[in-house]
Amino acid sequence: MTVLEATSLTKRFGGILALSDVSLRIDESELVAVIGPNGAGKTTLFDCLLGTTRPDSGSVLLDGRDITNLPVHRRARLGMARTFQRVELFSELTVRQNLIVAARARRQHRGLVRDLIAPTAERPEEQARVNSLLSLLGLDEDADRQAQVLSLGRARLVELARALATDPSVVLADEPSSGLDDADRHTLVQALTSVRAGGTSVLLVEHDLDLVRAVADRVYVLSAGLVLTEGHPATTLDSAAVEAAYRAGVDR
Amino acid sequence: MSEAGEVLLRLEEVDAGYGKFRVLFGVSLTLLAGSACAVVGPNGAGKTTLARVCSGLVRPTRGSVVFDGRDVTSSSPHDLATAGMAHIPEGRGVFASLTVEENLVLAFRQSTRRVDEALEAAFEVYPRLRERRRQAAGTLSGGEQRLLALARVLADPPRLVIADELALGLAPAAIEEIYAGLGRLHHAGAALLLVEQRADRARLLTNDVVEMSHGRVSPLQEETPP
Amino acid sequence: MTRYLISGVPFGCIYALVGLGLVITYRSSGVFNLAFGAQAYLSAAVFYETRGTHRWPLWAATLTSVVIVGGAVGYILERVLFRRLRTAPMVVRLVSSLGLLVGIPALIQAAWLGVGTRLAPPALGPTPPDVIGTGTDRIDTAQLAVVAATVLITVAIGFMFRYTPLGLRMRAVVESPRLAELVGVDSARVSSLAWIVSSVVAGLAGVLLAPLYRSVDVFNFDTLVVAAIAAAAIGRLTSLSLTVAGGLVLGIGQELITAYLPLGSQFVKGLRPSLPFLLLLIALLAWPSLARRGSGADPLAGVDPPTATGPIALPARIQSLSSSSQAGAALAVAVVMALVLPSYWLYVGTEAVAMGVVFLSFTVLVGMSGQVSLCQAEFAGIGAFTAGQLASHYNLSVVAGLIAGGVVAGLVGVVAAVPSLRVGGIYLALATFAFGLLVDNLVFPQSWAGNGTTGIVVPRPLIGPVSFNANRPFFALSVLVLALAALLVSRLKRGTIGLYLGALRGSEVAAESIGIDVRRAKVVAFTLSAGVAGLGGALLGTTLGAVSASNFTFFQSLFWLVVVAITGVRTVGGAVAAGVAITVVPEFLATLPSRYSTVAAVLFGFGALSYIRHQEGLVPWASRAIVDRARRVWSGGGAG
Repeated sequence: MTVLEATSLTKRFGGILALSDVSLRIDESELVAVIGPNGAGKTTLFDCLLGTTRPDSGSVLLDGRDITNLPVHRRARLGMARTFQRVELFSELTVRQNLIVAARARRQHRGLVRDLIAPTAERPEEQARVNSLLSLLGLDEDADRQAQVLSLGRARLVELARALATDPSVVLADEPSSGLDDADRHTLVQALTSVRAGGTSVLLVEHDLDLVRAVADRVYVLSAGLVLTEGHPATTLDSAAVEAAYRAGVDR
Repeated sequence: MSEAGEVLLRLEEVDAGYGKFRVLFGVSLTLLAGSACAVVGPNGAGKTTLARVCSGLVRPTRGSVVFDGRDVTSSSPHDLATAGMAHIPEGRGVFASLTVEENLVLAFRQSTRRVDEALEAAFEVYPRLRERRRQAAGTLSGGEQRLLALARVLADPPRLVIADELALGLAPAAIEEIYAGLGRLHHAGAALLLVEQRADRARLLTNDVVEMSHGRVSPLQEETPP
Repeated sequence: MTRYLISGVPFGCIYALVGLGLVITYRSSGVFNLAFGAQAYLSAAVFYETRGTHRWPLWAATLTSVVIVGGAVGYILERVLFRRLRTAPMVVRLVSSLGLLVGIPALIQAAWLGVGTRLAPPALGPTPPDVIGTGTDRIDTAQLAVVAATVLITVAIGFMFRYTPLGLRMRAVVESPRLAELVGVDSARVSSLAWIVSSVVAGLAGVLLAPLYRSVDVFNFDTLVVAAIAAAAIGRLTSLSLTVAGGLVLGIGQELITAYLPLGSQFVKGLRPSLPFLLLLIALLAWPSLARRGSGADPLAGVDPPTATGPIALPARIQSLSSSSQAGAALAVAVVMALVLPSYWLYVGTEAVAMGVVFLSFTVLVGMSGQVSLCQAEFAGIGAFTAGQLASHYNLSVVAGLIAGGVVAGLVGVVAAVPSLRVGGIYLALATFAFGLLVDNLVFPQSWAGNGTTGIVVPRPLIGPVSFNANRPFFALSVLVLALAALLVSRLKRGTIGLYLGALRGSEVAAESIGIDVRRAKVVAFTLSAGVAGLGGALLGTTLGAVSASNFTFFQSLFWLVVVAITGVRTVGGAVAAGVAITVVPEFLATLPSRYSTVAAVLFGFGALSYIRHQEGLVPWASRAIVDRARRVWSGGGAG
């Protein structure tokens, strides 16, 4: 079943064509990567999918529903979650609170009234979900630490956990490996694998081709705003055409 | 002052990054006076941060930087600039709101006593800049902006020029011009530290190419002998 | 027409001068220096003393007050304070400059000038000024001096920026301090110089302003800053020439309003001083690009990451232990006070309790959501006036009046929240400031609201047979209200709203990405905060028995923020402590001779600088230190 589907996305900035007729599809429990040189349109594609930029034409469907014109927070409530290239945690909250707020926001509880009548922050159904996510990503020890004291590698895992806490159908991950050392990168690969095993689809935008090889089921290669090719990483990434485009793209 | 062949710049076991975001992991590098070295590698490998550590823009959290025999690990960028290190940063390396001439004059006032001569020399090398001397630098094309940044150091070459992806995003003819300028600098005795995505381009100027990935440096394995 | 030009242009010139200073410092160091008002006042005061009192020659007095004192203060502020704050959070920079705006004039008054306004200040030129011309077209030498000095300064600054080496360096630093360093420019030194230049200009503006008002009065210098902010906003915080034009438009516009709108109306009377605020509000809302400026233009902006914010949380159990023990201790103290205090001190205590409620509104907005409002006093005023009017006209009981005050203020808070949807950070703070000043000038003077400085009475009608006219039962009622408000706020803080706002403060984009409606959350925060402020204001009004517009001015809005920033804007305990501090400290200082009546403002103003180090506030900081000490003693005892 298709979870996220973009059809013929086109976006211009001034005179520059950032995306030209780009289509993309992610199925249930699939991990798809988008790669391409600087300026290939990866970020614009990502923004169009997330709703931070509106495409000039084309559409985005989430679980079969047209979300092309919905604002970011409405998409999130329909099951789209993300992580950030530059970590964006709720820095003053604890790791657990970071996850709880995500779990709660998705379900839109009537916050104000409930706060005043029954203020307790402990809700069993959330606690259970958050605890299982914490152990899935190996964050148990950090649960009660403030997010701003975490190392970058831990922080990226918390972002992933927070995205999962909204119980999404798809997670969009923006260069999750940037700034990580080898050990953290290894942990990240494991985390992504277990996320997919749990039934959540992932769209990965990533520079690190080794990481893409290790985790992706399918890969799209973007160059100059176009989908150059797509397919299984083993066959796609090593083709001469991709190599050339990827290397030459910087000169365009 | 170090003679040609002596160590001009040495980084030892440098860790650096932005806040908690660590980019460099134990990077060491040595550059001899008058020599040239290129650092290549994919996006996000830490090349730009390495350049910024050399010029004092980013302070290492560990390790040391020695320039011209002096420990400059915690020196400020303007100290290093006046000591003879010129860093042309990635992207736009000129002041967009100042005119072409003002960009040059600003730099020459810090580096030489003979501002007018330097200005004349710069315009001689790049006559196009003379035509546009009264124009705001922000209105120049990308290639011309890079030439302007180069012209700042060409007229009176410093001891070290760090050039961060000066060719990025330019047409082949413009790249050729930039590389000619870099070659001229090298010829005039300046040591070069080039940051490049592509090793083949860097080889136009030097065979001393190191590769960066994941914030670490390794000598590049040559696939085919030149 | 000429007549309005003649009277409007000099004011416009002075707004323009301070506006120039604001733009130069903001662009070269990232600080929106509200303290220029205080610096202008300082130079005016020095000039008054040297030229007026001691009859120094004109050149010596000008040199001393404007160049030496003005320049030195600018240099010192930049070196010891603002240089370190370049990458600090906006709230920290704002609170620091507000603290100085409050503290410096108060220090001058306490240490030297004494309170009260000084009349007939000396002018640059003959004192009293000679008058040139006759009838309506006359101009005096003080006005001429203003125009001449402004033209001179503007031309000189323009020339310096355009044609001198220093000007070239300044323009380079303004665009990108880091890139400037790469070509060998010492950016820190250049920005020091920019501070000196703009402080000298602000000092000159102060010396020029005093004769126009024929007095040296702190109030005029505070409003001067606001007009200058408006001029700078018209100049989009970048263009020096547009800033000067903006200042002139303001000065002339104010005179024209007086001339061409029907006289005698209370509304027009209020409109004249509000023109700058109106323009500021419009400029901020019409040009949201203002708020997005800055980082995009600097190619090396990413080199210096912002410094981390926020306190490190105590472990949850210790936190709840310390807050419940604080609450228990506070209640016990209140009970003892109710039983033993003499009537007057009980009255002071009631005031402290009411202010505690007001300060809780800061906890909700600034503490929980991280947004800064500079119009909380106006919300409190709306609450007080609502309660007073309803009690006088409809005999509404005390409790109902309190609730009505909170509700009305909350509704106004929805309106005040509109700017928060368009702009954030310092611009939001400025927009709320302008909003508050509009309320000060247009609403509070009306007889149906605060009735100006005359004020209204706030009676305490009976609730059934219960009378709250005596101080003791009223104190008990106030404590109850504070306890309920504190409970409300701490429940909000620990509940979903608190989580949402905590998330928002950490990262707006991330909050959106998990499904939080950021706009709605911001409006909710503003509304709740305004409501709490209104409740506190109503309680304060009922305590005092009579309130006027002068109880709730923009200055209170600034001052209250400064006080609560010291004690702690994040916690209920901090808010309650702020209420106690703001009422009790002046009571103790009242035993000093009257010339020291501004000592409290000195303490609070400079005390606000503690916020740079302790953003959690001194109360949580101290209580943590105590808990830590206790734990150490405990574990030490256990080991031994």
